[in-house]
Amino acid sequence: MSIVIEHLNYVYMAGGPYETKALSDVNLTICDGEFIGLIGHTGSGKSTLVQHLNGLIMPTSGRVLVDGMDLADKATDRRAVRQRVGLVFQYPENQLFEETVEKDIAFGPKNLGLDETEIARRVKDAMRRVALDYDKLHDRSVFELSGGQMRRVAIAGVLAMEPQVLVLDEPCAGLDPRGREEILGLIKKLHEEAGTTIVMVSHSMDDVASLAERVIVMNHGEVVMDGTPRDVFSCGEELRGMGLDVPQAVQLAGKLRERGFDIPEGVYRIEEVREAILRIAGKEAGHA
Amino acid sequence: MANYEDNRIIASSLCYAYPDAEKNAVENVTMRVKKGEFLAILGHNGSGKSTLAKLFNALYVPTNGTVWVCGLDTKDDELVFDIRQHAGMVFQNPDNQIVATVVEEDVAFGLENNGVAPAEIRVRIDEALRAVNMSKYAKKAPHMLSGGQKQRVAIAGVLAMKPDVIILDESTAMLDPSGRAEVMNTVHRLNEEEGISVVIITHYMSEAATADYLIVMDEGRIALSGTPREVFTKVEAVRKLGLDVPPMTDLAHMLRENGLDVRADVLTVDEMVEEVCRLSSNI
Repeated sequence: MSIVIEHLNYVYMAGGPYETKALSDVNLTICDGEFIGLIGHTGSGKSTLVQHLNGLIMPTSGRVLVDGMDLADKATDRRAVRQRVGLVFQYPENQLFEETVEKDIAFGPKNLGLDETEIARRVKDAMRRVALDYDKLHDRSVFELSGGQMRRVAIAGVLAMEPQVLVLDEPCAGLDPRGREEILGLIKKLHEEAGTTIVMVSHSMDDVASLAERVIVMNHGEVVMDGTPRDVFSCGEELRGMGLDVPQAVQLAGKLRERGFDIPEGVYRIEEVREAILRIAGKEAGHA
Repeated sequence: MANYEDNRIIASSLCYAYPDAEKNAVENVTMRVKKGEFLAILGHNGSGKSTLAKLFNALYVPTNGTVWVCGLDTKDDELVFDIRQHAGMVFQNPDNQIVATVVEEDVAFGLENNGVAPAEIRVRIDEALRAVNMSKYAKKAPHMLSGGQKQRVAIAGVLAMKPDVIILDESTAMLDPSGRAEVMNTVHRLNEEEGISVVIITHYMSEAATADYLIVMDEGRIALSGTPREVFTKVEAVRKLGLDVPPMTDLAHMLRENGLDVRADVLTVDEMVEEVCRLSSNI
């Protein structure tokens, strides 16, 4: 299932004094099974874009096709689309509201009109995917859980809809390093094991570098770069010009190159820089 | 009695238990925040670091032990307002600590409540907003500001009280990288130029690496402490406590495991560049 975005424009508060063009002629195709990292500084249009992916926001002009269906078309079953494209907002734990963990995760499937056994199966399956122990936690209040656990409950609620595409808007914001690692680990697993297409909005270049297969960079409402992490992170100057960081491995590689060291172009992972430094040390040692 | 001139905050055998909790959230912590010091407190969620911060400005009162803020015992009810004037706190969420509808009125809030004279309030607002580079937003509505700008307004509100210590409890956690940089640059400048002591509670190792001194909390206790170099060099111990080390320290650690003679206490990209240069010229 693919998502095709054609000539998408979006204007906030059109006609008013605060009229803002949030998206400008965005063209993208998101293919089945991709892992996309979406980056850009605040106000670049990332969040506006992802809310178009399941029809929470409708284009001012242009169109978004999910599996060939135009979201703005009145004949399109938007509920069916939202089932296929699951959206996890920033700080999704703020949206938990049910009495128990199980009820909260079951909320979406229940509204689909599924029968009890199917709902129970989906809740258990979703909890397993986010590494929450069903027996221990299903009848606990969500508000007794830790921040990281609450976030995983919120993600489980979206997974229980069994989406084919999972869109996450800064899934690790505000978590401690352990919580961050847990969430990133489960996203990676969903992608690898269940084949779920992932679109992850992130401010952490190191997270994007370690996970994404494709990186899309937004600036002033436009898609300005779209390629492999290797291609995108090799444009350090442009990224910095847009107020973005580059991974520290890329910074180091660049500075070593300036000093005349032979570091391959396109290196963006710490392990790759380590290999390059070891080679330098080894090669030089050979001369001695 | 604690020596207030050199030590802005002193905690002695400090314990704190939440009501009905089985265990102490802070357990026998003894530490100090020196005059002009930039101190970072790290630790995973639930390690007690935020509780500790709240004990530093009398939001919580010790169950056992004592906290002195500029020589004032936080257990003394009468001193609470004085203590908060000496030690101001900035919280995590930029959206729920601004109370007024105009930026400068928000900065004035604490001063008005303390009965400061209107002419003096005017002077202090202008100074505080200038110090955080927000003067041109004085008449703006806070909801039109970015997260980083809102946090700088919150810092200005604290600064207007002329504090000796500013405590930031994960104040950058909800900001984007440029907002984070704005806040960190602001507090570093206040620390260096005005000599205000700063305590930051943070999950970002890159922020902690810029502090003079680090404390790592675990299970309510101080698990590690020292300069960032001393602490982050203990890569395995830091990881065991559920924390990261800065990427360059991690790389130095890997290179050493591969038998290269790089310094273990590398923190920044520039230091790593120097190490590689040194290494290649030695060979």
